[in-house]
Amino acid sequence: MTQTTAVTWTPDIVSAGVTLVASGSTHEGAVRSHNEDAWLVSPPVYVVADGMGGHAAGDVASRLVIEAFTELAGRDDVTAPDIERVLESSRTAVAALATSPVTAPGSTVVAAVYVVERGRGYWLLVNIGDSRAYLLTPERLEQVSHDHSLVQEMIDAGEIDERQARVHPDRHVITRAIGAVDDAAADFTLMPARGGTRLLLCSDGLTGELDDARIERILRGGASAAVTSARLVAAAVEAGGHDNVTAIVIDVIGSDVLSQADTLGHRSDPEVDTVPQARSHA
Amino acid sequence: MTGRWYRPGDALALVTGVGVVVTDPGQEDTLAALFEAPLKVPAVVEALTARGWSAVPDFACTVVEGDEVRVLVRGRHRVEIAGEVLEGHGVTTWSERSWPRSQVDSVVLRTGDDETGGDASAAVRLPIEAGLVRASQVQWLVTDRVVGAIAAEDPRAPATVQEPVAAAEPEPEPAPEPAPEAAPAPEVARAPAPEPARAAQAPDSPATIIEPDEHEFDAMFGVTVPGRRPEDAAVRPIEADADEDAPEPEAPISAGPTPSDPTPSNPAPSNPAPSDAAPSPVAEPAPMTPDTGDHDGRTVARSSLPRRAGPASAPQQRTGPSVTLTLSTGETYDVTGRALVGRSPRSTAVTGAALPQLVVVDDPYVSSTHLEIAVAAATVLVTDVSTNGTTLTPPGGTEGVLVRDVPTDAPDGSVLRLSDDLTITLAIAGDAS
Repeated sequence: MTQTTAVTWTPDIVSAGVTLVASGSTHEGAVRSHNEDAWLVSPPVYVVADGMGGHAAGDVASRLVIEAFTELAGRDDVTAPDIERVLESSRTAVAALATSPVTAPGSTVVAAVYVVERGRGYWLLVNIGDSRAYLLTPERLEQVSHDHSLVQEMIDAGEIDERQARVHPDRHVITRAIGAVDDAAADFTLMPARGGTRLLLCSDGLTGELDDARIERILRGGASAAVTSARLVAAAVEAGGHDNVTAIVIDVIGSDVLSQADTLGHRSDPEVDTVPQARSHA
Repeated sequence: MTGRWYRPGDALALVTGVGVVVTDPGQEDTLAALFEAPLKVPAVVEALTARGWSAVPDFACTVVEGDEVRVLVRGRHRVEIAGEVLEGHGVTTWSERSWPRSQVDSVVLRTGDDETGGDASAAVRLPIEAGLVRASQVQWLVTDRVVGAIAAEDPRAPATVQEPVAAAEPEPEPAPEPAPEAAPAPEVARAPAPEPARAAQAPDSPATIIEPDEHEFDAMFGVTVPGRRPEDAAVRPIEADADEDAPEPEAPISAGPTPSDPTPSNPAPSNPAPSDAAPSPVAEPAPMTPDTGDHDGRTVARSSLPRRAGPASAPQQRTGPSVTLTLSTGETYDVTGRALVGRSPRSTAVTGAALPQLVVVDDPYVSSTHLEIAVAAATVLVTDVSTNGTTLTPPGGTEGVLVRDVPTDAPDGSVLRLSDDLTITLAIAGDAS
């Protein structure tokens, strides 16, 4: 039962003629009977929240997070402090669900908000937990968010590699969440939203089943955002679907195209070979 | 740029903001690895001796550490410093001495082949600020800019992103690997009670052993480019008058080596908790795939220990001076905290307020994230993080190349050149000088 919704949006604000085409898909997966993921495609706000299993009311928690974010929908002047306020109100709402510390529900969140400043579009991203944001450029697929998970900590500490992380028994243990744990500190990321790029927000039900190479192939398949998000979810379910799967794909269509992926070498520096990191201007 | 130069030759010379290493050809990889992290004597020694004593090459090394200039020489090389000469002849290991920084203006490292070559090119002196070159002789001036470089030596400093471990330990002992691996393995095998095991990872399970603050990792390994926070640059301690400032959360980065005790945190939780922690009657919908063992795909949270205030609460936003950037394209930006300049700059922070301003420039010769400009307590610091480099021309001064990853003081009216076509002029308002 994949549910897919597509939304096309052209910001009113002058922003290099950009149009955002977004689509979200979700599926409860092949194993679980209900879907604790929740998502929002309501320009300029795009959110995926993964309610925590092993706790009561994980699905309610994720929906509360989504509801908090709807406050930002339709606005063209969202700032980072606005997002902090939304996170705070979702923390309060989720915390109110807890009947005891042991059964406290929780939710991850990964959100992308399109903001415009001086005629340029930017992604203001925020994440807590292991739901992810990926950026697809013509050159590469790159994970933009940083997981707050036990295995990510172990990777960072050099104890295991990505491959081991995928099969690690503790791979679903997250170290930050909204509710459920004390620490709900978010990571904020700000980056230009360039034309010709594609942003993916997803729950770990997707990344737990599909590796980055597979995800990249599907994202590059040339299909629309709607078809692509549905394909991603279907592929994850087919690959096992052990968890709820949610994916939002957002295409940035516009003229603000990144001129060059990699920096060109310096034109007029004869020493560039011998002094790679320094140069002198004659 | 007048103070640092080299004569082309056969030996390899690594020149950085904090020191120089000269050694034999064939050590290119070793020196390149050292280039990845701020230069430190222990790292140099470790790298050069990594292949065993019989294989240690001749080398000469000078590094500024704190208030000292340390010099090490082995074999045929010589170092001239503070009117003295340190030689490596006839020493089994190497000669080593320190001089107070105040007594040292410049250091000259002469390789064994320095005076022997009579060809014309040996007379050529080429300027170098930082890099890896083939040289017969290097003169390295201990300039004021080293102040910033010393800061970069701090383990918390920006340049230490991701690489330091690799750089410092060319022979990464594989020991830690198996250990964490071994622990989980039996757990996978013991499929019989997957559900309770999972429940056992709920909040107050023993899984909650000490963990390093994630912020530390974020700071070290985050997507962010190096040199993000003026705080990290640790330049301020040197400014005696950096008055205010709640005590810096020293925590941020120092945790690199504090391995997060994989041992206690893995095996402990699940195994010995078959039945008790079953507070989740709600969460049973996955009983039909016993075969998947623990993989029911659930996201579970681990409660965390009370953590100290993260860098979020660090004094990022201080009132004080602001700087106006005027680009050669005509655009202007007012910066009060921090700005990243580049073709596609990106930054990650732990609070929205700590995010820098982004200055996007469309110049293919400019790096994705090229330059950081930070308004600190009483100064504006600029840090090059680019591929092609940035030059700084102070008003009335001469153009000099910024040492990559080293925060450098930029006075009012300075001109930064990011590419042939792009310059940025700084106009500082407020109480910065």
